[in-house]
Amino acid sequence: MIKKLIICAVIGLLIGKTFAQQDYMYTRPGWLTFLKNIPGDMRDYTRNPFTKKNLWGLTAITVSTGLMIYYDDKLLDASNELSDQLGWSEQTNWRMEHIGDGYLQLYVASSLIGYGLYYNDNRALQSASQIFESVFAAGTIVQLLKHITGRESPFVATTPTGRWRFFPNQTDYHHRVPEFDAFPSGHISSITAMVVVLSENYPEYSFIKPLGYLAIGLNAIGMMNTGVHWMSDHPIGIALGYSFAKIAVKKGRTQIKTSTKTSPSFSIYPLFVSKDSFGIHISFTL
Amino acid sequence: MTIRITVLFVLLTGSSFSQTIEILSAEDTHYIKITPVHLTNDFLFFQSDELSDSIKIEEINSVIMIKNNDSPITIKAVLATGYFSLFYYMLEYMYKEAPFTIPQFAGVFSVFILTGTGAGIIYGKIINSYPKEKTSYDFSTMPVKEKYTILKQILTNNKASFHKTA
Repeated sequence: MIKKLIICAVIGLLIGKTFAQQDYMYTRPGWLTFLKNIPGDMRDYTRNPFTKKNLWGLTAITVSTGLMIYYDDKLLDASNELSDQLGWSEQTNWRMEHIGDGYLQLYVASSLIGYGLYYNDNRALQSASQIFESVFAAGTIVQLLKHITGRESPFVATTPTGRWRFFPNQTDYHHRVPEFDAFPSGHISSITAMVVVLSENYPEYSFIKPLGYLAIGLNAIGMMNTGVHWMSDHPIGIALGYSFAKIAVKKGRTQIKTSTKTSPSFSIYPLFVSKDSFGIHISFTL
Repeated sequence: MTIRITVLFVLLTGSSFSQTIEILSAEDTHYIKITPVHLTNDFLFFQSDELSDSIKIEEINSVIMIKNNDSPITIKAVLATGYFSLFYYMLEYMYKEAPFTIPQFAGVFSVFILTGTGAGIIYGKIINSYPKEKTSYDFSTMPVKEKYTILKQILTNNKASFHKTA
């Protein structure tokens, strides 16, 4: 009965057809725009979490990560039990793990580039650029944290919840990567970044969010079942992917305004009059 | 299993309609494809061919909305299944052949990029092969205020249902 209700609810949410006009204007990005934007994204990211608006989010991530670290061994057992109950093979878990390893992001972004170039669609090109931008930016911070925290992955763990070696010897790190690179998860940050970019730029496709969140969840469970990550590696990974995707999307588009100007403003725009003539429109509103 | 198939089916049934807008000015003879940027009481600011432009609302004689019809659910399901199956086929084949040298990795990346790009173009060709629905709004005899109201409706929710000429 509950299963039927869930199915009906999902159908109700998703089956409605959406007539959506783009509310944003997209300009064509350059080939290296995503790389050029990354330093600015880092700057914006370091400012954002510590604002009053994001305090609750930051607290939630910190508390949930702390609790999960405490119960990580039990959560890992629960994830393995779930896999056994559902009859997932090793190959299924492997496929779930690879949702976030970057190849899917490369594949999807390439498809957007192909579509965008062939059909002159700036929204598709911007989405591809934003996926690369947010995945690389989040990945940089993830790598920095991995190299600082030095946490063991579950499949090489020497303690029930994995040993932490803060500021490990970097030569040891590169010789025995799984012994140091569990925290946080880069896979989950890259799939989260892609899902957020696509759902923000294509809000009329109602399936992106539920399908994307499902993919994030499957990726998280898959990585636990293959022993590469603990549950507590995920919240910060998700937060990084989400935040950098939001920053990239904000930079990559301009909102179309449809308001009557009531506040004081000054603007200069080129004025299209007819086929052969043009002028300049200067507007000053009090 | 039934639930998984049902959920997949439901996810694929979500449909959408992309649209483009073209305008005809009073002193012109051909329509211009635009991306609206800003609308005031008197002016519509837009982008056309990568350039910013604007037009007085009273000078707009006609607006055409072209709506791309959505493809059938079955086509979407086949495309989505094929797209992700191809991805996993390539991924699993790649891991069977691993490890790679750096030049080989460049080749592997190129295969993913080229396949993804090709898939994007093929998807566009299939989607754009469906008939387009055209709606014209005749603005020539309308007062400016009414033109503004309709334009605002077109830009905000695209549900302007009056003064259609076709």
